[in-house]
Amino acid sequence: MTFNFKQCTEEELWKYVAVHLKKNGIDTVLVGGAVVSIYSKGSYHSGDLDFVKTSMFVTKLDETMKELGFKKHGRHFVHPDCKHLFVEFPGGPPLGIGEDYSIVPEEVKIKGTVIKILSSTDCVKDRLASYLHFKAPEGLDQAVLVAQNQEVNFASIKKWCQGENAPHVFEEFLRALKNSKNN
Amino acid sequence: MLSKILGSETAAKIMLHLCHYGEIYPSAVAKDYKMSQSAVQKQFERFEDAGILVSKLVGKTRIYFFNKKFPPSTPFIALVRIYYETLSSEDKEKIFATRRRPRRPGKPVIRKVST
Repeated sequence: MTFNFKQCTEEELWKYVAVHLKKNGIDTVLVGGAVVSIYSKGSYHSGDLDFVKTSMFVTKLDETMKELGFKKHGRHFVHPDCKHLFVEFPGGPPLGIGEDYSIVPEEVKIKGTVIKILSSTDCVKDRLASYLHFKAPEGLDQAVLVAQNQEVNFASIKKWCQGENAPHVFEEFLRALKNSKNN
Repeated sequence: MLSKILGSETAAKIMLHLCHYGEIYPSAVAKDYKMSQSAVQKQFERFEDAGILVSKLVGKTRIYFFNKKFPPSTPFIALVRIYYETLSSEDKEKIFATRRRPRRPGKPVIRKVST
């Protein structure tokens, strides 16, 4: 069965790419806006997939992506048939959100292959980190979107905000979530 | 020496500029140190690839700043700050001579007159 690059969702492309990478010995965690797309059940479209490698000793990444038909353009991997999504491997390892680098990702098993994604709680923290550190207001909106659609651990999010010296961000998050429920 | 730790004088200069200005664009660093813009640009890209810096486009200019979402950034910034804070005032005046704080258009610049 061939993969439908033209019409795939973030979730479908994540599973397709992550399984292929894992089968070739490259373990990754999906982070960033694509996680919001998945947890918000398509209410948000990120346009890109950010993978963090779990090892700093990865080799042959370019070749492995090429096997799927991706070409490297600067920092991005693009597929000629996939105009709406591209793939990137920013930063890490380590996988972390602000001061917190003890992140335990969710594991999803696809036909015997385990692939990884930020948990819904860590996805909220990641978006709040963008709101706090990058002054990106959309980060708060995305955090709310995830919390509307998924179970999240509010105590853990509150603790993370305190660890970032930003307890006010947790209050803003709760307020925005409450307002979204009223609208 | 910060340049020895970072393995490059350009890298050290970029970091000192970021400590001082908070955010900066490559051509500003190149101009202040009279260096080639492509060498400075490449070093910014290396820091971004490593996750220490992030960037955003403002008009046609790419502005770089510390990526505080990335856990190694905080201890890294702390290390650079030690070197920044121990620069002599003469060095600071020389390196950071360009004023980049907000300034109302038309407000006159009063320069120090050497006696």
